[in-house]
Amino acid sequence: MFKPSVISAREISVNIGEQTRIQTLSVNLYAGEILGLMGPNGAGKTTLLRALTGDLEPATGLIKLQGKALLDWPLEARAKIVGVMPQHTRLDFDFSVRDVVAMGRAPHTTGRIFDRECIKQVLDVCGLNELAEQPYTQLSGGEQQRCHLARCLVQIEQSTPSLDGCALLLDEPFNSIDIGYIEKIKCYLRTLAQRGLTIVISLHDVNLLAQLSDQILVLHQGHCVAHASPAEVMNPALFTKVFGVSVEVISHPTSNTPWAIPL
Amino acid sequence: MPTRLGSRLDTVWITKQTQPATLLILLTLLLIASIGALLTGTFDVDINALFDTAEPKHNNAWIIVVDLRLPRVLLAGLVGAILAIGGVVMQALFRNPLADPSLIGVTAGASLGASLAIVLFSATGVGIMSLTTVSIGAFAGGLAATYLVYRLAKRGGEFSVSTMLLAGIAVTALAGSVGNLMDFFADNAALRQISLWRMGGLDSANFERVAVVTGPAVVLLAAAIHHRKALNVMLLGDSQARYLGINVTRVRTGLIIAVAIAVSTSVAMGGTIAFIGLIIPHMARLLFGPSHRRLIPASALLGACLLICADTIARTILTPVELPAGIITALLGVPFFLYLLNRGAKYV
Repeated sequence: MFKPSVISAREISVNIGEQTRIQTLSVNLYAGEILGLMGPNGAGKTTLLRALTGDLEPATGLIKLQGKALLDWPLEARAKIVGVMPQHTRLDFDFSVRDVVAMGRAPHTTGRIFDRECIKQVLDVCGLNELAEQPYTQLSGGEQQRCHLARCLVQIEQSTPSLDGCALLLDEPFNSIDIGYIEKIKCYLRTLAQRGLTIVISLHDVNLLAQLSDQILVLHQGHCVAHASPAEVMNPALFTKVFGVSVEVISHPTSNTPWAIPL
Repeated sequence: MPTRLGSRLDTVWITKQTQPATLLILLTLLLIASIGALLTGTFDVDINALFDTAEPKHNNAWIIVVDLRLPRVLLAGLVGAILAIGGVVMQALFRNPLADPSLIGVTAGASLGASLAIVLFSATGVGIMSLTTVSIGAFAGGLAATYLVYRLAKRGGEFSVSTMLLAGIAVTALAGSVGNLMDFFADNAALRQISLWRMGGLDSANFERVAVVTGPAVVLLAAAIHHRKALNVMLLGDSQARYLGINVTRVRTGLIIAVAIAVSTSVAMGGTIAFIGLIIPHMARLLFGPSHRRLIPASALLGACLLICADTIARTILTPVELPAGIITALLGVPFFLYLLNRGAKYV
């Protein structure tokens, strides 16, 4: 059966200033797919994500969202179906955690009751229930990160159970978040994907990425050097080539996902 | 650390449920302040004399209150509200709690425009609708300076808030030094007039001037309220606001135009009145928290209230001499500002 792609990038090259950061890269993302972006610092993961969000216009090539050129989408309509979490967010004003999370519903007109339910759920997922009325600026770094993650999770929630055609783009979403919360959020991302959400996620923790992703795209100096399942991608030769480190890849005891151990 | 100033200092003093009631209280305070301002002055008016037509002083009282003091109180209220809303909007657009309307060069430009008008045409020249050439010069100067700052910040099609900040500082400095040059060549009478004008004062209020200020004030208030959600989201940064569906460029351009026109008009009518644009948003935030839904109406009410009070103090404290209201707002504003700085430092 033919499945239309939610996001498709065709032979895109992206420049920042004079420098080409992404070189003729093509990728198709389907409903319910989780794509992990792997690569050393400066490989172009963030650049690719920023191109997929429409922040950077590709110098060549075309990005389509639901079959329509990304930059032709009205911002408001796009915000209803695509949530983005950049690496850093600065907020110096003292909103309560609940108010910050509620900003994720700004593009929607689903009504206050529905919005409140969604917000309650993501606060729970991100372990923010107790902090909901706390001023944002007094949170720790990890708590602030969870707060923004919750805001992005609440943004892609729809009034229908199916999330087909919606996408979530996450750039290092787990920075400074501790392992207990990551587990819970990971499960929630999985259930969102089962409902049809397309997720693109970049993580520097390759093992976490292997556990979470259906497909991994490996970037090296702006080129796509591998795009396959975690089991195929995670091999010692690739780690030597891309990261310059020798690893042994073993199998995770319960999930059987590949696990790289630096030697 | 200035960025911490935006934080709610301890906890918000009033809960969300009581916010509408608190807004009503502020409105009542504004009405009380206005009535107080109408009845006090060099010549205190007895409220009975005002409505008792049999009273021999009735006519005098009526003229003083309605023809002289009423336009002045209205003008003070409108100018105060404009500066306060302008401050709220600028702090949100610059994502910096230390921003105020003068950052986009509007105040310095208006100042220079007024100096030019005083030196070139002498202040007595009457322009359109009883607006002096000074007012027109100030208005044109304010708009021109804002336009220049905006063009500089938009160089190369890419708008940058930090460039705008720097361009604002540069244009303000430029306007300041050209202003000093004017001072240097001005004769003594013109010099005194220029420095009095700079201190800010509402002594030339009349109903025409009130009418001229009302339009931009209403437009600014409406624009700010219309974009209240966008202003909240834009505090997260331009790209984040775009991810949340806000057309950042359009909102920002529209609001900067509204602020520039309103503040230029208010400076043209009342001179440069210091600190309202900076401290009133902070006071409102202390009471209502950072969400613009309540911040905008609260700032408008508080700004109006403060300038009406300051102006009343200015014209009564040294009777029969009138002080410029700008002196009083700065005298009230600086201690509060220092207090905020001090409190903010505790969180570093």
